[in-house]
Amino acid sequence: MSSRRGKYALYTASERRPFTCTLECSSCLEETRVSYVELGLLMWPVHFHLPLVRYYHSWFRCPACSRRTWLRVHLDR
Amino acid sequence: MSRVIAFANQKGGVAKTTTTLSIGAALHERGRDVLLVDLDPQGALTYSLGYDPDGIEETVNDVLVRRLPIEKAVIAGTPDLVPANIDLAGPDTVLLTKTGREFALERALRDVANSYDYILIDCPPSLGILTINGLTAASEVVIPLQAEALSHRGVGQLLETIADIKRFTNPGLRVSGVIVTMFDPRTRHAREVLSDVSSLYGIEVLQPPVRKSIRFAEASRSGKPITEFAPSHPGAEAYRQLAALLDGGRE
Repeated sequence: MSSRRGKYALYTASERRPFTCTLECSSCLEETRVSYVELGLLMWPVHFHLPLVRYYHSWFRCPACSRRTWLRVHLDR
Repeated sequence: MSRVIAFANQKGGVAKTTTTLSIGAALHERGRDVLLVDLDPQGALTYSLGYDPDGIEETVNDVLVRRLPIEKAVIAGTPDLVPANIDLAGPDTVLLTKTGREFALERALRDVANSYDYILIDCPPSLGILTINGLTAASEVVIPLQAEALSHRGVGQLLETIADIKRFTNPGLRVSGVIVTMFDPRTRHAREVLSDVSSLYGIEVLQPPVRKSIRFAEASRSGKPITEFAPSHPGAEAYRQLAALLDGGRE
């Protein structure tokens, strides 16, 4: 069982918690885990979404570099 | 869009590097644009192409850890190479604390996805974060396998890892098949292991098997792929046939 846990520690998914997602920033290239509440706050007061046009499809503030920039929201990580 | 193929087997000494290099060179001979990515801290692929791993400034380590654009680490050649050296032993610990650590190589390769027909990744002989990066970035995986019992056991472990990769990071990853290396057709053991692999795991064994030969070691030492070092050698011919098989679906 412990060896299984060790193996899964290699994957980001092992850190997944309910009501969280990760944000991938096009500026600093960091990926950061945030809760849905934090995501809402980062998008406040203005944000854009261009889901089919760009890989980094959402424009709001990156929690890692604090820049307003294009990010990708990964709901599955 | 490139076809990204990872060559993986956590067992060392099964000719992963030789297979990656030879298939890459054979695809290059067929007129394909090929990028080789050395993901092994031992830098064997880098050495086999005639470069001194320790004398290279920018390597795949800089791409994964410093987020250097991958084009800056590419050494133009026949085929092109993203080199590695012992610095690549670091990312295991550096990446392990980062969210999205499995996607570092996939992110980097996005920048060159339209520049090459094939990107071939030489994975290290382990099932750590580097191999996971290789398998996450790939669309398919080829398993070089030495026809002997211990290699055979490793296939089961590798398939478990591939199942984890499909579950967590890359649902589209598929196993293209096994390439049998260092094959000695005179031994019954080698033939039995081959038949076990296809029956136990249901993986296609790509034909032909590559026979054992000292010419491969000599080619590595000369810094050339076997297809260039000994173009008419049966091993070079075998890799040409395997490359044609992998390239089959393309014009």
